[in-house]
Amino acid sequence: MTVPEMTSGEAFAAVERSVEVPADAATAFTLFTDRIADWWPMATHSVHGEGGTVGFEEGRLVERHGDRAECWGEVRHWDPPHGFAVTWHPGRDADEATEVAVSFAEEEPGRTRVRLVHSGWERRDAAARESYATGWVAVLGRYVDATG
Amino acid sequence: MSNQTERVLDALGDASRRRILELLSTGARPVGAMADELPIGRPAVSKHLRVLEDVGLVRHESRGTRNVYALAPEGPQVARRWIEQTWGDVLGAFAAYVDEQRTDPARRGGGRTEEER
Repeated sequence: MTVPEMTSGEAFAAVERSVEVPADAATAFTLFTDRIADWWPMATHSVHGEGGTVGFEEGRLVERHGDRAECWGEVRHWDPPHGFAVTWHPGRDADEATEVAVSFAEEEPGRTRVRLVHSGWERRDAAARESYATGWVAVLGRYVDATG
Repeated sequence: MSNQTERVLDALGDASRRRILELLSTGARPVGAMADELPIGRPAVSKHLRVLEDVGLVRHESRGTRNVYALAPEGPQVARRWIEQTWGDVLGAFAAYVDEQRTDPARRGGGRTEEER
């Protein structure tokens, strides 16, 4: 998997973070996806906050809170144990989606680097396209809504 | 930094402040002009601007007798740091969870990476 480089023409470059976990890639992939409800910090990183749950359901990542359902994104790529990608639009319409890709690279037996790349900020957003100097406001707006 | 991130988060947690940022993203303005365009009074706008300026998202310059506000040039970096921190929190929660799933004796020496590819 290549690391996106920041280019001068891009309104807002991809954000990338990674962490190493003590598991083989297959285990890490399974824990990340099948067991996402067990570890995702819902209280701080969800549309409806604490008390809800999140899971992959038929190609979509869905938050459920009481009788409310919130689609965070659609699966675009699914390649266990190497990685997956989803569109990303919690609390927003699908046509405002950005993209989140997560890859799992076993760097040595039993240790896996989990890398998350959040990209696509510039794509469908007129404000973000306008300029690097002001586009971040739209980016933040989307992000704040996503993590309300 | 995490303290600063928290302050930015707080600053952005308010819909009026996000609206102010959106207004400023279309051009610099004095306080009065913003108050005219928002459903809040001038004192409230000033208060929100102070909060935004404190966390480095907005700056002002004096033109004659009035202050004109604009997005801070550091805004993109501030936004970026904040988003990075937020995803860092998510991945940190995942790493802690994976750690919990392991039985203790299997623990390996931490942190060293060796090229084995």
